[in-house]
This record gives sequence, C-alpha cells and structure tokens, in this order.
Amino acid sequence: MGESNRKGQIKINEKGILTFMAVFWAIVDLLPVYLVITWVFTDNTKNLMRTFVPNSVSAAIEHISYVMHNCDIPEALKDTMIYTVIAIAVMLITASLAAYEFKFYDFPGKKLFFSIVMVSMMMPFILYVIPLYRFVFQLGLADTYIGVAVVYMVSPLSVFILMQFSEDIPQELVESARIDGAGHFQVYFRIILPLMRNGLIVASILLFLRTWGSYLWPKLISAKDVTAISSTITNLINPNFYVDSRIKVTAMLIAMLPPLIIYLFFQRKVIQGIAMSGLKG
Amino acid sequence: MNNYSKKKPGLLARIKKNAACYLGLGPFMILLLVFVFFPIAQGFFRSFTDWSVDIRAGIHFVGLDNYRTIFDGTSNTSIRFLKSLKNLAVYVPMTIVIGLSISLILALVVNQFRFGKSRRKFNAFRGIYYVPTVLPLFLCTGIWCMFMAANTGVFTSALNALGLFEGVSWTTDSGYSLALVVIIDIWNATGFNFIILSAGMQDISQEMYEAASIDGASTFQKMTKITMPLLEPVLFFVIINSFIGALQVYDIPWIITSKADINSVGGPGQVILFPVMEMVRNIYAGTTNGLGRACAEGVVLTGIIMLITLVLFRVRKKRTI
Repeated sequence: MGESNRKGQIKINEKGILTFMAVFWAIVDLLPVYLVITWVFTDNTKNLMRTFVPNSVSAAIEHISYVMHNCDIPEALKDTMIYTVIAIAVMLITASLAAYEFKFYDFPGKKLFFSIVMVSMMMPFILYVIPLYRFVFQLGLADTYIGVAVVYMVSPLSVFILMQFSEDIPQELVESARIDGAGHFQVYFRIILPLMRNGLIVASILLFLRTWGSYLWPKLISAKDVTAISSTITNLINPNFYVDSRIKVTAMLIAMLPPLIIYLFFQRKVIQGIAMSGLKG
Repeated sequence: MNNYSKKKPGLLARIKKNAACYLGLGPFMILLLVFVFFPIAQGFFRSFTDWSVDIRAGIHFVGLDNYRTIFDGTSNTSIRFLKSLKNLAVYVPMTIVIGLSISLILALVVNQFRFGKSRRKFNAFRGIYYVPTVLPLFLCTGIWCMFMAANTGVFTSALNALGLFEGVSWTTDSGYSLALVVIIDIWNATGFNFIILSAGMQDISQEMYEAASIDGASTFQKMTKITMPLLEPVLFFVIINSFIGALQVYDIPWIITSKADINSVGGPGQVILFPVMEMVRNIYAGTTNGLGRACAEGVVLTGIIMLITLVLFRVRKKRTI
C-alpha cells in the first residue's frame, strides 16, 4: 500500500513539473503577441510599459485608422497580396502538373528530372540570388509583381507535398479513366486535381506564409511601384526618425493578422503539412 | 510474328508516346531551369569575373581574384567578410544547440500528454507553440526589438528592475546583440522543430511505453531508452535543416541593424554581421567588382553549407554502424 502510494505521488509531481515546463514555453510564445494586441487596445493616457490589460476598443479603432491612413499600409497589403497570389497561382498549376506526371506515369528521363527537382530543394537561395536579381532586371521585371513572384512560384517543395498527398490515389483510377477514353489532361483536370484538394490547400498555405513573410527578395526587386509589407513594417520598426510605440504596435498587429487568421482557420492542415514535409524529408 | 524477337520500343518512340507527360512536366521544369539552375550556374561563373553593378563596365574574367580579395584580410570587404564568418562560427552552434534542446525537451515533455484524455492539452500546446513560427521573421524581430529596447522595452525594464543586464543595449552591444538574434531565432523556429519531432514521436507505438512501465521504467528512462533512439532519423533531419537555415541567417540581424548608411548593417563593429548580409551589402554598395565578389562570397558560403552537411552525414553513418 505504502509502495504504490509513493509511486503514485511521484507520478503526480512528475506530471506537475512537465506541465509547468510546457506552460512556461506557452507563455514565452504568447506573451509578446498578447502584449502587442493589448497595447493596441489601450488608450493614449496610459504608460505603455505598465500596461498589461487592454482597456479601450475605441482607442484601437483610432490607432488602426491612423496607421492605415498614414503609413502606406493598405497599399503594402494590396501589393504583397497580389504578388503572393500570383506566386500561388503559378505554383498550383505547375507543381500539380509536375506531381501528376511524376506520380502516375513513367517516361524516359523521369528519374533524371525527379533528381533535378530533389537537388534543387537543397540549393541555398543565396547561391543564385544575385544573378537572378540581375536577370529579373534584364527581363524588365524589376519593380513588378511578377518580378517579385518569380522566386516563390517555382516551388519544388510543393511538388513534393502534392506527391505525398497523392499517395492514396490508386494507379488503377488513372488507367481505367484512360481506357474509358479520357485524355491525358482530362484525367488530370477532372479526376486527379479534385482528389489533390487537401494537398493543394496545404501547399498554398505554406507558400503563402513563406512569401508573405519574405524580406530579402522583395526588398531587392521592388522600388516604388511595388511595396512589400515586410519593407513597410521594417521601416517603421527601425526608422531614421522617431515613431511612437503605439503606431509601431498597431502596424505590427495589422501585419500579423493575415498569417494568424490563416493559421487559425487552417491549423490542422498547416500542422499536418509541416509534419509531413519533415517526416519524409 | 515471333514473340521472342519483340524488343522494347526504341527511345525515340517512347518519347513520342509519352509526349503528353513532357508537356505536363514542362512548365515546372522550364521555370526551374530558367529561374534556379541557370542563375546558379551564372553565379558560379560570375564569381570569377569583375562583375559590377555598373552595367557599362564590362564583365571580364579575373580568375581567383575575387576569392583572394575576400580572404586577404586587408581590404574593407575582406575584414567584413572574415568578421561575418567569425560571427557565424559563434552564432550557428549557439542557436542550434540551445534551440534544438528546447524543441526536443518540449516535444518529449508534451508527448506525455498525447495519450488518453490529455489529448486536448497536447493539441492546445502544439497549436500555441506554432504561433511564433507562423509570424514572419520581420515581425518577430520587430516585436522583440521593441520589447528589448535599451530603456523603453518592457522586458529590459523588467530585467533591469531585477538588477540584471543594466546598461546593456541589446541591439548594439557586442555579444548581447548576438544573443538577441539567437533569442529571436529560437522563438520563431522552435514551433517548427517541435511539430516535426512531435510527429516523429507519434510513430512510436504506445505499447512500447506500456511494456516499459510494467517493467518499472521511469519517465526519464522511457525518454532516453525508447523515444530518443527511435527518433534518431527525424532528429537528424531537424539538425540538418536547422544548420542549413542558421548558416544563411539574414533577416533578423539585418532588420535590427540596418540604417540609412548601408555600411552600418551588422551593427557598430559588425557585431552581428553575417555572410548573407555582407553579400547583399555588396549589391547596394555598388563598388566595382561588387557583384563578382558577392558571387564569390555566395560560392564560399554554399561550400561551407555543403561541407557541414557532408560531415553530418558522415558522422551519422559512423554512429549507426
């Protein structure tokens, strides 16, 4: 009796310590985000450094509308969204077609092409960023949406993810469709693409997060016509002139919203996609 | 018709038969070749030239000059590049050892909640841990810079009130600024590593743990004798991935230190200057030879990445034998 009591007690303490550690990191993760949100929802009279609880929705509205009107944020949001959507659209078409061919067909050179795709995933971006940058300039795509999207629309990782998501689709489905007279691309369009739906969503979300948060490439390519949200926010954070903290947090909150909203909606799929790309990698 | 003489159709015939496949694969491969492999080749070859931002200056072959310049220790470029490599040598081990330890411990700890009715706790923790990873790096940097600002940051004030780190400027002081980059990077990346490690642990069947429990194994023993060995492949992937990412660190230190003058990146005394930043600086600085040198720096950095990857693979092979 005493023995099992002792064991039982140790177990509780163990679970307690573990829970404490897990909760500790959860706080570390959420505290900064919480503070940003809180500070936006605080009126101007309080000393921000002592503020831990929000107290005013109207102040938040005031802050947000000020920032939206004065800091070029709507334009940055629009521009970033445009080149992100372009990148995703091109990726969806090219990567799904590539995944379709790799998964269901056999043709001369397939192994070679597949190796090329796999190798390209390992190429660090820095190796080709400079020539690519000049190349995009030469093509006349500097400071254009396509110029920025070019880097992100080619996504070997997406091909990989789509192939993973196609694993459950039986080869016979394609074959019987072909026997029934469906053309090569009809099968792709009508049968495979709908079945790839989850993979397409995951690949799109991952590409969105990557493109939206990107700093280096958009800064290199864009000048005045295209403004990336990453550049706009960064200019507010580390400017050559004074920027009030409240403006900073409001701008950061606005920039935080698209990724957070997508994450909250698609949490399961996002996590599933990450886990999958890691496990098979 | 003799079946024994039926040969596999010739290569040309097979290509023709599969024409549609090439058509489907075409767009992706073309984009890949044009926008990835072609620039890579160009980058490699241009590193041996005096490529400049100025288009009017031609491009001439200069052999290993660029490589000599960046390593000679006297030119401004070289001093900065070598300093960036030194910083990298400190930063990479720090961020990987600390970061992966945290991710691994968290994964092991939260794994306990995976079974039975604590499943909801598990999902909740997993969901929370990934939030910083979802946030773009520039936002993570912005948030932490604000909270760690010298006198006006919430966190610094709290630390100062406890008598810690008084008078420290986390964004410019040598050592502390490196620590800040490490902090921000770990904050952002842990979620990703956690998810992968956690997913790897899910493949380990619960029966093993139950059998071990019956044999009287403690939680710690279960972690070290069951979980860790079975997790090895996943852990290896996470390590390689983290190395490749850490060696290319750019966003965080750039945003912390960049001001109007391009030469200020990396902070006073180049305390947090890293190779990729130095490459980009070469683009903006517009000096003659700048682009050729930047390409050379890129080749060197890629060489380092490949070398480390190779070494890690070798070490792993030796261990599993």
